[in-house]
Amino acid sequence: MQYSPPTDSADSLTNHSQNQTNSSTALRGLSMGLIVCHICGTVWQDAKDGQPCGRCESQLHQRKPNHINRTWALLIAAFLMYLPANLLPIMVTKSLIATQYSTIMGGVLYFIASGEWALAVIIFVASFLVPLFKLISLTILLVLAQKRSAWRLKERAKLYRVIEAVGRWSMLDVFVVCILAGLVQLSNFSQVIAGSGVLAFGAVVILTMLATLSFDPRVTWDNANHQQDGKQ
Amino acid sequence: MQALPNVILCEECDSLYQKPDALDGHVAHCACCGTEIERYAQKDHYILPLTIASILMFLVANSMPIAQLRLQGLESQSTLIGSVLSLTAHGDWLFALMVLATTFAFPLMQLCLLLYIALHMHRQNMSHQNNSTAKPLPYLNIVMRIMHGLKPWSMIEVFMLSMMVAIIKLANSATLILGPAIWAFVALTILLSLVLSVNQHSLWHLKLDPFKPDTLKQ
Repeated sequence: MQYSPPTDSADSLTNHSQNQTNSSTALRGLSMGLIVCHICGTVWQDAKDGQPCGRCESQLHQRKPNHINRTWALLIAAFLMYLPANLLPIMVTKSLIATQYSTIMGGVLYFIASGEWALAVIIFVASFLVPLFKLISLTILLVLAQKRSAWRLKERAKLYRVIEAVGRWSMLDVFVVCILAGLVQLSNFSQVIAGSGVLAFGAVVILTMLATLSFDPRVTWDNANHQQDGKQ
Repeated sequence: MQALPNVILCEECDSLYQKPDALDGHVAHCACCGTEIERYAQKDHYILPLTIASILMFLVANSMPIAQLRLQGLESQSTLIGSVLSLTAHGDWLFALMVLATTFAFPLMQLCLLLYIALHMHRQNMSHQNNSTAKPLPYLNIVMRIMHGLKPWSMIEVFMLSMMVAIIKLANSATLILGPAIWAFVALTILLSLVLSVNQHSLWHLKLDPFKPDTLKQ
């Protein structure tokens, strides 16, 4: 499905496409002065950055504003919260005889000990692996985008989509604590209270989700194209 | 500034494509990076019934208890809101707010906005079979912008899985009676994912939009 110029659009489009027929790369909105509206998907020609979309009135941006700085800031904040999220208890279980503090890994170990392997895997993946995977992948994507690297573009695009899709599932443990705290309220006999770690953990999830949203995956391709143009 | 109605720009890699002819139920992927760029789900007649069913399930899910716990003669049960309230009782306001927003407030807003769109669509299909007299939906742009913003933060399906985990965690140590809210949440997850699987952009194609690309030139 290669681009062929629409019949009723301006002449400039046709000229551009003729100039680029030798290039192996696909035609791109940036080089053609086109901006796509993120909300309604309308493609605009001759639109300025920051101008409202003529259809849905949301601001048009060639690239997400300030994306590298914003993503770094959110990512660093998420890294900082990752430590307390894993070290502080996310849940406090009070019973008549003892008060028990459980961390995220504690929950995983509990399920391994009680033989619930499937659950142990779900929690280990959702609460430990996914946040770590997101933090590391986003860092790699950012560094590569800043270095204008053309390394494994398709895989990087796929990685971004995976991060976007799995991010929300890390909230699993946060909700589990909430449900347990609501259900287990048997006066002094047995009571579950949310620990301070759960807030830090929720912050990690939300900050990484915001970082993912503020990263602009199109930059990956922009830089790679510049590099290819330079080589030619 | 001029709109080009016949092209698509991939939102993840900025590649340009000519809009393929509409084929019901087909999905177009970007040849460059593989992102889904267009989904043709023009059949809009199921959106209203699915939305109404979702709202009913949402009401059941939030008014009925999730489960009842029995241990040594003591009993306790809780709904989603009850759980959130018990968090605030211990001063975890931020945590309570986080849960309330992602599992209650945002999904509720999504459902209300969907109902607004679906009702208008239904009325239009009833009164005018021909599209030439279609009336635009007021505030469609604001509705769509809010829907776009809400989408990543509405986490009903994650909450459903957490309920399962919580139940299994408790089932080992106490007698647990499952409440109707669990099944309502399962149903709500399925219904919501069906309604929201409609590509956000394709809602714009549903003839509710006053915008005509050919006539708008600045």
